[in-house]
Amino acid sequence: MSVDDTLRRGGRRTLLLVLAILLALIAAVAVWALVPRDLGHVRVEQVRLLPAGAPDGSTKPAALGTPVRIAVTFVVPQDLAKLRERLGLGYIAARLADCRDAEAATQEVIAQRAGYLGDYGRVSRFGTTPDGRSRYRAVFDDELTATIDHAARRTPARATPGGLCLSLYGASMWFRHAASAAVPIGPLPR
Amino acid sequence: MTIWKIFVGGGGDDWFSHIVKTYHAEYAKINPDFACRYFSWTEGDAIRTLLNGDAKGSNITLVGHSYGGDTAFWVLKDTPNVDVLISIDPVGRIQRSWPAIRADAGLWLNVRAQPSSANRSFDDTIAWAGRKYPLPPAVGQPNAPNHGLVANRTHGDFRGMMRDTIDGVSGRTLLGGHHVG
Repeated sequence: MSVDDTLRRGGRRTLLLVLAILLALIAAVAVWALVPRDLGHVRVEQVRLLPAGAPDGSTKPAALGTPVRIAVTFVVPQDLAKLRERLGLGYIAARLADCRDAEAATQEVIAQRAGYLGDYGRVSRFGTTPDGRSRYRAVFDDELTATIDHAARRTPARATPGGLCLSLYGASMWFRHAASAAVPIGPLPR
Repeated sequence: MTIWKIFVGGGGDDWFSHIVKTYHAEYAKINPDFACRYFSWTEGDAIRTLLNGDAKGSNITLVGHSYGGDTAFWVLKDTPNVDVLISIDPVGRIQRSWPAIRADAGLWLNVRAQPSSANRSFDDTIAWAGRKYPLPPAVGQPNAPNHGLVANRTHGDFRGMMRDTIDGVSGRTLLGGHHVG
């Protein structure tokens, strides 16, 4: 084998090694960017209906309000504002959705770093539980929205035949997103 | 005459962030008299079909954010019937020239995000890597938008940039109807 052949083979091996490292890096970035982070287990403590005219402490425009609103108190393992910062997410919101169709949902912002979503102050933190978990209360409109054929379609939340589920959802502008498992909120009080 | 309000979300809007999608849903709810539609930045052809079909001859406002702004710029080329164009921090790999956009746009507001170090985030790095449109010519110069605004906001702060005002004009006021918060 000539010296030239040996050098050529060594060069090819280096090129393959560089390519393999590049591919591994791309795969790592894709996993980092596309695999959703876990926002922890959500436990629903209480569900109440707020009748028309009841104050919910929010700044949501009156035109956005529905006659009845659904107040959900839930507990999560961590402070969600801190968790948002730690995960580098733009926002974290509480989502109330059709258990059979997560696309039909309404959401309220828990924490965000800029004007990604409308924050109407409808989620408040109620301190911590004796075991150190964080308790929140979110007030949702009795209305789920899905985008179908480019238009926003709305349905009353309480009329959902499959029941309603609560989950957390967080995202950054481009790639990273995070979610919790959706938990049924149980039958709504009359 | 039907009044159309068409929103075009940027990269990731459809999959992850839902920034413009959510804005559209809120706006459509409080403005039931308008025909409101949301499109992803990848749906330029669907927007062209709408503007040259059902919406033809109507009053049309087109709002685009990030890559959606670039999509709006290119859509204008084939649909010269847009009355109001609101481009919020547009980003595009193959950019249209300001003279071409100016020639096709009606009333046009452009907002560019230029965050201070305190407001800067990873959103801005990716927008830069995706190739942000440069500042357009200053208002009053040839090929300039009718209203141009530089906002001290991060790229994803769509609502903030819709609210920001110059000489009494903002994205919200040009969009018209009841304002989203």
